[in-house]
Parts: sequence; C-alpha cells; structure tokens
Amino acid sequence: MKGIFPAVLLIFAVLFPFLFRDYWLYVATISLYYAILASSWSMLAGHVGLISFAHAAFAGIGAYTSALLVIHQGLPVPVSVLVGALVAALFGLGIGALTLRMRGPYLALTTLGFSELFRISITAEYGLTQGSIGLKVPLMIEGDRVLSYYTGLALFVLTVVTLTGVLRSRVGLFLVAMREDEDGASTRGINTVYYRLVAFVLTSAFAGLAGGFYAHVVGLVSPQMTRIGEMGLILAMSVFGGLESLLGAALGAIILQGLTEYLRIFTEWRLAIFGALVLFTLKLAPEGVLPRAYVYAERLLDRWLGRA
Amino acid sequence: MTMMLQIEEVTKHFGGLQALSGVSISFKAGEFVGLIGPNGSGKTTLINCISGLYRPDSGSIRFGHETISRLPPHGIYRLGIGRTFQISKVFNRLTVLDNLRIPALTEGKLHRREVDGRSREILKQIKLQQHGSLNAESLSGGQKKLLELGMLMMTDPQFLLLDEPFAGVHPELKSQLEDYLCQLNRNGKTIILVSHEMSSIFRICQRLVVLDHGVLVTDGPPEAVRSDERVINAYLGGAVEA
Repeated sequence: MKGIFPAVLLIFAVLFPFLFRDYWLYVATISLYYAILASSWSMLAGHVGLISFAHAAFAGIGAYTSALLVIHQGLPVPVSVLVGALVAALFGLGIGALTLRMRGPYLALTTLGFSELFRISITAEYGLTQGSIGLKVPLMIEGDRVLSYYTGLALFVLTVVTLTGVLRSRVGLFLVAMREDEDGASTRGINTVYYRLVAFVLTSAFAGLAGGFYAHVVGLVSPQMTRIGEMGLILAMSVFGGLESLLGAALGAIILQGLTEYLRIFTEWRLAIFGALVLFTLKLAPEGVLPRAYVYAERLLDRWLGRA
Repeated sequence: MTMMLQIEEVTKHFGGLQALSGVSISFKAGEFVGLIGPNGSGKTTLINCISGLYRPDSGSIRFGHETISRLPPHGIYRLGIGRTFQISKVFNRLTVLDNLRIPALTEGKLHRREVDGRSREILKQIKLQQHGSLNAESLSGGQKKLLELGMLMMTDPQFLLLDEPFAGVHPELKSQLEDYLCQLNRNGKTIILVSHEMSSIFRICQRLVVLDHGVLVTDGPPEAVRSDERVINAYLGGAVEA
C-alpha cells in the first residue's frame, strides 16, 4: 500500500494535462511550485526541527537571480534557474553559518529579519528590479503550458526523491536524532552544527530552484512573492499536509493552492481561513490531515480486502 | 599507569551560582573512580565540562596530550570519551536499533552491514532483543539506561563517564550491571561513575572523588573516604553505609 499511493499520484500527475487544459493546468503548475516549497520546508521543520521564515525569500532569490541572468546576460533558462538555486544555497550557507551554532528561536528571528530585508531591498532597488511593479521575465519553453507543467513535475519529483534519499541515509538518521535530543546527538559523535547547515543549505537550494521555475512560468517576479503572507501560506500548506511527510506537505500545498482558486471571492480573508485551518489541524491532527486520512484509508482498504 | 585525563583548576559558574571552583583531578588509564557528593555538588557539571557540553570559565582539561576543554562534544567523543546521562538522552522517536546504530555510523569506520550486526549483538547483551524494532519511547526508565550503555558500547570508547547508570534499574539487573561495568574495567576501560547508590559505589570503585559545593573535598581509596570527617559532614551527615 505504501508504495502504491505515490505511484497512483504520479500516474495521475502525468495524465493531468490530458484531463485538464489551460486554466487548471496553469493552477496545477503553480501548485507544483508551492509543493516544492512546502515539502522542502517540511523537511527542515518536521525532520530537523528548524523553523525558518526565509523560505519564500530564498524562492525570491532564485527567481530574481534567474530573471536577471536571462534578461541581462542572456543565459538559457535552465542554466539561470540552476544558478538561482545555487545563489539561494549560498545565502542559506551564510545565514546558517551565522545562526545555526545558536539554539532556540535565533534562526526563526534571523530568517524573519533577513526575509524582510530582502523584500525591502528588491522593492527599493527600482533600477534593477522595477520595485513593487515587478520584473517582466521571459517565459520558459516559449510559454508552452503543457511542457512547463511537466518541467515543474520533474523538478518536484527531483525534490522529493533527493530529500527522501537524504532522510533515508545516515544523514537523515542524524537529523532526526538531533531533533530528538541535541545534547544526546552531539555526545554520540554527531557534528550537529554541520548537519543542520547541510539541511539548511539543501532546502534553501530547492526553494531557490522552485523560485526560478516560478519566475519563468508566471513571467513576472515581484516582491509580493517574498512577503510574510507567502511564508505563512507555505507554513499552512506544510502543517496541513503533514510536517513529517514530504509527500503529505506537497499534497497539502496542491490542495490549498487549488482551494485558493475557489476562495478568491474572500480576497485577503483567504489567509485567515488558512490560519484557522492550521489551528484546527494542530489541534485535531498534529501530524497533518493527510497522514491521518491516509491511515484511515488504509484501515478501510484492509477491512474491505479482508471481507472480499 | 599513564595519566589519561587531567582536570586543572576548572571553574564554572551559572549566573550567581559557582558550580565548580578550581577543581583539579587526574585520572589514570584503567581506573574505576566513583564521583560522589550531595545534590548540587557539581558532579554532573564536571561531567558536562569533560564531555564538552559546558565550556569551563577557566582552567583546562587534557585528555592524553590534547587539551579538550575547547573542543565540541562530538570532537571529544571521537577521541574516545563516551558518556551516559542522569536523565537518559535516548532518541525517543527512533527505534532501539537505530539508537544503537547512530554512534557507530558517526564514526564511519564500519560498513552499514557491520553496524547492523554489532547493534544486534549489543542488543542481546543489554537484554533488549524483544524491543529492537520498537521506538525508544516505549522503554522503561531502567531500559533506557541500559540502551544508553549499549549506545556507548557500540563504538568502544576507552574513557566512560557514567552519570547515575543504576537509577531506575531493577535490583536484579543492577547487580548484573555492576558485574558488567567491572568486566569493562578489567578489559581496560577507564570509568568515572556518578551514583547515589552508595553500596554499589563502595563495592565496585577503586577510588572515590568527593565534591561539595563545587569544591573537591577529598580524593582517595573508598576505605579512607568512608571515614573522612569532611565527607561525613559535607555529604552524608553521618556514617557511610556500605
């Protein structure tokens, strides 16, 4: 059952462009951007125990880096998106090196400060970024929606497979041990600062990758994508989907992004609705709604198969 | 015997509390030393300073020829100093076997298959073979103590700091644990044992170090310490029951 569920999802995702076109295909492509962000953030928060509020800012770094490289240097989009991910990773390395030696809320506060600093800087630097109007960016694959969708799907699969691989390796075991007991981990030989940094840089790189992809799908990057409300959305998606499940967090992102389209009439109240959703999730199913639903579905299936 | 660990004039304070005041102690290779003292005397603080969780405010700690008082805990562990905790620090949401694997995997000397083999071997030695695939949170307090000891044995450190290893352990198992520690010592391990179990301390330790209010009160063979007036006054408030 465990392997079947992701396989069914993947088949559905591959067939999606044959079932839905235009608008919903575009919504699904944007959902994949959020799915990469939510799954990588859930690895950081759920598996490593690090709360970063700079994930949207790292996506912004990837987006602006890629956009500027294509516009000013004429680099091909795939190369510029990869460079964007690398630059986000370097920022992650810098912030991580400054804060990850400390314990407690320092990372959360520093990343919150950095995130705002970055948003204000790109808003103020009008000559380079067009400020709050946003920067027009060339679309990838000449705006072909089906191919853009498949590119997003490939990047999403790459993210989940890579992060799952890390979590299943000895590094993943160390990360969970550190989350469980930092002193216990360090006195058993785990270099806690180093492994926290590895996780932070890796997830920052995937946020940057997602940002670069987003820029060339939407065709516009603006400071809006790095505001704290966006970060709140990523948090809501991860908590709703399940902080300790990469796939759960990704599905949370896809569901909430789909829901956003239905809730457009509520304008900014959508965020309040998502906030309430997070509170209810934490109260009623702290491991996430989707992992809980999965357990129920598995039980139902077992019962049904048992009777059949 | 060669000098293995030298603590020189180590001082540590927390706010207004002087936890250690100029403590100097040396430990020789192969010794089995009991570190005793009333609650709040600085025993665990000293162990935390040796294992790198605290940095001494002043003074130095040397292990062999290397000064370790500025090294991080994982660096000290890799030199061969292992420890257990007064309140067990096992990884609750990992399986018992994964808990055992972690210290060996951090060393990186063994292949994964060898690590698995060794962890199953240790699991038998600590009599937790029924619990290998369960999460460590399901273990009792005493079983967690045994698991910590098992984790220590995974990488075979030469210098062991054991903080209250008998707390919560079933009496029958406690005597087996005492025998096991003695056997480890006979096999060459240097052991510093912190415990409030006086009967165990006097039975198995060759030397006792007594702390009180962060100051070294006395240091010597158990028989001498038992009758030391300063110890009786500071720690026991009466005769020592062996």
